[in-house]
Amino acid sequence: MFRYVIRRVLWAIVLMLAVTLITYVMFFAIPVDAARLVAGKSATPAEVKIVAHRLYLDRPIYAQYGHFLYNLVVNHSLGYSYNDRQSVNTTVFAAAPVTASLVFGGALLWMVIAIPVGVLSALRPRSALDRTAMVGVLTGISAHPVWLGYMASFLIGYKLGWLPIQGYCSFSGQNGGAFCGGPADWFTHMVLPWSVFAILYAAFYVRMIRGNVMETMNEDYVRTARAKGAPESLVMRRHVLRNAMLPVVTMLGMDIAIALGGSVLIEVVFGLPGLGAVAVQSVEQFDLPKVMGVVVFAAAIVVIFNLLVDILYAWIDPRIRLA
Amino acid sequence: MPLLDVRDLKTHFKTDDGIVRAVDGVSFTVEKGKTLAIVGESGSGKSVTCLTIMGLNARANTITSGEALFNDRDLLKLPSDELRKVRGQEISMIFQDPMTSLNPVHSIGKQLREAVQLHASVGKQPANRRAVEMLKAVGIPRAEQRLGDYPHQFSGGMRQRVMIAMALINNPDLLIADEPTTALDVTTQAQILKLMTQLQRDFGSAIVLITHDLGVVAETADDVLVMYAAQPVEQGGYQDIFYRPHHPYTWGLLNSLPRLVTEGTDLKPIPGTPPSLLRPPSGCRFHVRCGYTMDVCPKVEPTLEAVPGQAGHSVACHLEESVKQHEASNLLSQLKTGAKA
Amino acid sequence: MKRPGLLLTAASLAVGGVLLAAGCGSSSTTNTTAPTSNTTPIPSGQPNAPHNGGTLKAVLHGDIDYIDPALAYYQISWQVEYSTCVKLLNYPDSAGEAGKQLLPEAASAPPVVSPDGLTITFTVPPGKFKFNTGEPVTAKTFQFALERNIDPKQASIFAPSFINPYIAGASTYKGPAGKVHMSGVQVKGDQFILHLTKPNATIVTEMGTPFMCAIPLSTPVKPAGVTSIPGAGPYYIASWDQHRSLVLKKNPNYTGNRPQNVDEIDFGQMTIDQNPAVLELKSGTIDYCPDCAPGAQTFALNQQYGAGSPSAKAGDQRFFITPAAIVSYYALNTTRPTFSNVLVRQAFNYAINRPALLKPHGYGYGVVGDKLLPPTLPGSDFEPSIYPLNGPNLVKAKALMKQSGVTTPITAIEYTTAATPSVQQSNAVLQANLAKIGITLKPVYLTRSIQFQKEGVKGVAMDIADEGWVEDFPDPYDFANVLMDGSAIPATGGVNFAYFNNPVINAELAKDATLTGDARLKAYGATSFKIMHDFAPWATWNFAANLDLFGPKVACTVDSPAYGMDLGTMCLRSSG
Repeated sequence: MFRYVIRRVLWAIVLMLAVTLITYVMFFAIPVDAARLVAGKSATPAEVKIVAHRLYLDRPIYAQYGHFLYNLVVNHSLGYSYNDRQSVNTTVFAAAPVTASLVFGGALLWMVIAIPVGVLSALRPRSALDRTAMVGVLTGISAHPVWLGYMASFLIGYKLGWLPIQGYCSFSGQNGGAFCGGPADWFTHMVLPWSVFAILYAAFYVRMIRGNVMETMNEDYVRTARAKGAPESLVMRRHVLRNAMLPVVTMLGMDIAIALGGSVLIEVVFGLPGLGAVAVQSVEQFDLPKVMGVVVFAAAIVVIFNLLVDILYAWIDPRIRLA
Repeated sequence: MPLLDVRDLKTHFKTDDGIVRAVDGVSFTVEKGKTLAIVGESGSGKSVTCLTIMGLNARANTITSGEALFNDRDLLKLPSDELRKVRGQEISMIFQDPMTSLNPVHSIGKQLREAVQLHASVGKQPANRRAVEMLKAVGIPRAEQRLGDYPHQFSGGMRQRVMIAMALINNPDLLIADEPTTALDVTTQAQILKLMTQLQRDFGSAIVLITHDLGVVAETADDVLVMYAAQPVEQGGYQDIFYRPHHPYTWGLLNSLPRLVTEGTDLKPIPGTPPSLLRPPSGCRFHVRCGYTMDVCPKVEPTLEAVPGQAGHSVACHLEESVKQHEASNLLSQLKTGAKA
Repeated sequence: MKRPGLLLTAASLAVGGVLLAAGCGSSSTTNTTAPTSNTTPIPSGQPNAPHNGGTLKAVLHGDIDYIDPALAYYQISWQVEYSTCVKLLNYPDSAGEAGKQLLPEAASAPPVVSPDGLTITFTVPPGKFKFNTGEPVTAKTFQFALERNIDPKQASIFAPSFINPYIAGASTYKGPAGKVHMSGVQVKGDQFILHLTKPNATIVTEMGTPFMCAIPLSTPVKPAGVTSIPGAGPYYIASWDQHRSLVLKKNPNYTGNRPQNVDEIDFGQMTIDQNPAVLELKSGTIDYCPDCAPGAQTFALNQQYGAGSPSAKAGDQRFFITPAAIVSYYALNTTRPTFSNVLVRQAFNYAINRPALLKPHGYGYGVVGDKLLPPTLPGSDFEPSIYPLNGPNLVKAKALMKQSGVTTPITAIEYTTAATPSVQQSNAVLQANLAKIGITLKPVYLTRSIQFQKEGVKGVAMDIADEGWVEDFPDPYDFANVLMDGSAIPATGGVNFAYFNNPVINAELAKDATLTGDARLKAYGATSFKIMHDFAPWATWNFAANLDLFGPKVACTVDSPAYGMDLGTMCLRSSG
């Protein structure tokens, strides 16, 4: 187990290096004079030179990359934005809770929907519930997040006026002015984004859970459990669900990790200032440090979640432990 | 009074293509402490018969009729909760594939313990002690240490021993073994069969042994039920089936037994394949594969009738008694030659 | 040289926040259903009547770049600074012509300019204004603000380019601001004195830009910009959560006479999607957004809430399309063979279908135009229109092509903005127009910032730049000199995208800049006409508008020609 974790961690580091390197190289393929962007269009060539030197932009690319890594590892700094000059750490860590609010809340909601619906559909295939669920799944899978988001905003937010149409309110309510008064406002602002997020993902998960449960119910060991005299509820809980959830855990880990890297569309539609929104803006502004910040953060999240999922998987599936 | 008395059991599955008559009128009895072997090819309805008795068929789209009297209760009419209490306590079952019949994510200790605790409110420690006892009884070395191990850490034979331990852990009156050795290699097969007979002696359980292998039957069974296409075709004591077989299908089964040294004699498999249970052949269902087909065979369905002079032996075949006797003795002498050589 | 200014094409508007930027703009008149400016108390008491107080809830599709006056350069940031800043000179809170008059604010009177034009003296009565912290505004306040702008460590992007070249000692100033003073900026008692290296009348106007906002003497020099700053204007910035929210509150120490109608102005959300924002404005959960009207909805919004709509007739106009001092033009590269011939450039001007070019951008995007100076800019009235506004004049265009002797077809490479359908549609129109006079258009789609940068590299292989310019302050200098002076085109980072360099014009522009009053405006009008008529380095096709959308609770608005919708004049209806 220990060696397994070590191997995973080493692999994670290699992955991080690769991701940052690729992002760096890609950015250098784009003909933007970052120093000029920073120095301003009015700056004299001498001023641009000073800025370039300060930003390490006058060094060769490998030296710049090395500088970036050094800063990251030694100073734990992602650098400073070319555009708003703020510490990228600040920006990323301000955006991360927004995305985390969206993703974890959404994931919770979609699992709360997907597990019972998926399991019940599997238990009663072809029943009215199963068929309704499959229609829901198809709709969810086919719907575009932006369309869903706009529809939710329009119908529930605007026409019915039940929930805020868009916008984010921080949990603390700090600096939100008249918009934002703390946890209750945070919650009401998140309900629609969570729901849209959940509809999109719940669809996949209902399908996956239904399939897995149906498959697992045909396993010999489930028959064994019944033959032992286990009541149906125990059979489901102890023998079917646990096994059926193994692949779901993997998927969930991956989906959450990827979504944490930025759920661009939902964040944009609902005006949530999360990582996805930051990523989009910084790409448009050629703000390499911010883009790198989001990339590094997202990659780290993906890698860490992978690791967690692997460890969790090993914990729930004894077959992996020795592999 | 027999331990288990099954009368005219029918199990039909409704499918999109029509009704599949998986079991179509099966009757048999199992006496306390005895072994009944149900023999037949794959798809002949032997497993479904047992699953029906256990109440383990998927409930939806299944039609069951007949009776299965067990200790004075009709298992087929028992409420599901009552039946649940019977399962694992009074009747246990082991399955063909030990590789997949144990839950991979729970330790075998937990799975054995579960079997105990489902039927008795005992703590973890007593349940564990019982589990160790059983593991020792089925010949698993270092039983205490291995409680925490997971199924994938055991070999196939060892897993089947665990399955047997789990099945017998509550001292059931009846053990249903569905092809318990099929998935195992030959030496392990012998060990498992030996273990089962030995445990039957020790525990006094009756056994219903489902198999397609008459060789296995020869080593263990007291009584034999031969099934073909969801129906019984011949039924009798071990002696009746092996020394006085009356049905062409039984002859075929005996003939297809591998014999050790029979130079010049090839294996004689039964020609053809088992029929569809969705639209079974008319009359005698075996007539399409039978070497003795007569005009009557496709027209009239033979009933299971007692063989004259042989108590407990019955057969469903239109052939004349004399033909049956003649063919049986011919076959027997061939087999004996093979066995001697 | 100098000046960034900015672009502003459909692309940058659509992208929002991103590059949208730039000085500010808009002018002219319109609207207001209730009090224009001033401090007249608003009648209250009746339900639905305008009243003082309350919190105005605003959102932005774009973003606030900085609240640090040395750095802020987005239009909305200047709009905010208009409400939070005290300056030596300022524009009154009035719509129309009145709003274009630069009047003394912290200064007691207009500056005194020495006869040689090299010394400009402002008198700043100490304590006439106070910051919300209580600190008084004095002559030293402005000395410090100016020094901080020029201090290289502050790394202000734009301020030096406005001021630097004319002030003695500025080009060699090393700071630190407030401790070491440059020779050209002097404080004597309550006098704030500027010494120039050469006469320039524009600097007085430039003293009225938000870069010269009064800031406390303790404001640190910080290249990343301060994230909180006291204000001496009618409002101050109570909090700023970058890219998230900005809260303005009434300055309790405000002694001036500018309006402070609402108690608080909250920009609660930024960088939000336009479509849900429109819903919020319609439903009244939000009161104001300066950039939330999506092109696809402007027509419908105008029908429902715009001028002349039933809503407006009932005294509740909520959608304002205000012409702004923003020009959209095709710069024709005079240094490359394709457009080196003036006749070809003039033919271009006659051949393009201006209404068709404008149409893809949506209703209210702007009005067709062909001039250098936007109609809302002072001086524009003195620049007559030359080229056809209602469609091409192909006869004239073809005649000019023939006269030029250029062998057609010729190919023109256009640098334009990627990623917006409306720009692509405009380019399709342009392509078809030019094909008729034998010019084959080859558009090169680039991301906005790259496009801007590449176009500014001297010698670039580009024939047409699809460009725009937003006013920084209401003076023709900001267009004519900045965009057409060819005397000092830099190797990179230029904004004279036609690379137009005519010694006569250069001299004339320099002379115009020294003039004041009507003479100045007339001179600029004449020079602009001469440039467009005789040399046609551009084909202007549009003057863009600001599109402001309000919620049902807003009762009064004033559109400042200098900075756009005036936050301090907005008031809410009493909920009853």
